[in-house]
Amino acid sequence: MVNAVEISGLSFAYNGQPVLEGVDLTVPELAFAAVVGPNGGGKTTLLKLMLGLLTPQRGRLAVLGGPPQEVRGRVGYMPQHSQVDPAFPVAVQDVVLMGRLGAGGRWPWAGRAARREADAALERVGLTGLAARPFHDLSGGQRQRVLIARALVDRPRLLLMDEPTANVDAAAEREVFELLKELNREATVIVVSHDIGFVSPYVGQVICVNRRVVSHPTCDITGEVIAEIYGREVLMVRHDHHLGCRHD
Amino acid sequence: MIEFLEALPRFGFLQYALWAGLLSSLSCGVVGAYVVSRRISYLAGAIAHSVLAGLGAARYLQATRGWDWLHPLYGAVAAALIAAALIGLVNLRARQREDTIIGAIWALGMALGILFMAATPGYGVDLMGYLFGNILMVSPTDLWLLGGLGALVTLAGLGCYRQLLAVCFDAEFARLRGLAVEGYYLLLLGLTALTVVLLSTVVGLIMVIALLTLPAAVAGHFCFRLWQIMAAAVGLSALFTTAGLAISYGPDLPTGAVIIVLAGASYLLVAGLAWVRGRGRGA
Repeated sequence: MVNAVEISGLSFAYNGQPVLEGVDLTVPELAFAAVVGPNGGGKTTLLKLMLGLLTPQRGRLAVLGGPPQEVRGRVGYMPQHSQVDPAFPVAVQDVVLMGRLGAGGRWPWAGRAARREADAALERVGLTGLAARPFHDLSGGQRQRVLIARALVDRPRLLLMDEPTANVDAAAEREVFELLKELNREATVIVVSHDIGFVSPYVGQVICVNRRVVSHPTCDITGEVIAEIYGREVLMVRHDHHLGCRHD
Repeated sequence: MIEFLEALPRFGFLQYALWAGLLSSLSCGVVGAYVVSRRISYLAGAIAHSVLAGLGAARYLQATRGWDWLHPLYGAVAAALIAAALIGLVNLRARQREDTIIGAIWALGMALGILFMAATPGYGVDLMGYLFGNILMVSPTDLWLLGGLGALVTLAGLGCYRQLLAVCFDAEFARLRGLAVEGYYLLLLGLTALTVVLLSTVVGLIMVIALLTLPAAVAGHFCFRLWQIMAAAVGLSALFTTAGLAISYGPDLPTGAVIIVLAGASYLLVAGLAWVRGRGRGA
């Protein structure tokens, strides 16, 4: 079986500033993984490398068994919500249809089949009946779910989500993760999150990113590990699982 | 107003002016909706001011080289497209210096235009006409050029609706769905450049940004889909230019300025009403 993500010896620097160094990472297919770590630690950079928006200076990176640029059609992406202008004049259904741009179509407007697909995606994220509403009329949580629908409308095998629950209250956050758990039956899900305490009941793999990358099975996550990732209480902790490395 | 209606059938120049306003309204509404929703009116501003360099260069070459075929509009189109390409490349390649470079293009275009005009021999070039517009001077030749440009811009703007909508809303996502985002962004700037040239014949270079953006901004208060905003903005733009022409004719006011006052007052009125209503709802 092909792994969803396979990274070995990868390094990446912005203008000479190292952001990620010596990354080795494997995410098996149909895993549900969370990428956690402090701000500026390289979480979003790792995601953009997987999307092929950035190219590593060193190392190998395969997504769904191929180079990231070539498998984009099978990868669904949800950007950080700040990337989207919430006041933009667009209907909910048209946002979702942008997820099918790759499928083409001859006319400047979307066909009936495409609209049905978009409505089905909206139904899956629990927004049935909102297709014709303005995007800017929705609540923050509803907008996040529209962007999830846009990511999944083309039936991706890998879903990459950057902070899907930022600016959303706890109830909406739980709903989003329940939804992702359901989507995980058909697709590998990798979520960037600031809140490891919240995601741990849902995910099977936690990827800690702070210039170096260490991957844990969720069952290994303890209070000590969390404190270490965020540098709150402990500066250094020895991990006793097989990776045996420490963060710095 | 009544004087205008009486004069319209008698004077060709009034009919040409009316047609120029109506023709440019088409691309104004379509492109203005993209410009407003993507928030790039300051880019359109830089393109507008660089148009003067093209107008000046064309007039200069006409006068000194005897290139009579070189209509000033050709110069304007060339300058606008060059400015759009420069701004587009800066935007795509060197984001952090964007505002400085746009400011430079803005002023450089003006300066070059003024220098060309100062160097042009013969009777003084009508600088004021270029800056503040003179829709009453539109000739039948101009009208054909304007019509052709307007048709091109409108068809391209509508034909690439889905792609341009996606690029304006979330360019990075559009790229991941396999769209040639850079190409579409440059296309959008190119269409903006051509529309700026069209509208500058109506209201001049200085005020062109207002005519490009205000109809779409007013429409944005009443509709929320981009194509609806386009349709409404086309109508509003036609209304503003026609009404401006009619109102200014009798008292012999500058037409471009009257058009802009109408558009600006409508926008402020609509925005003010929306604000009052929003406060009422909030209380």
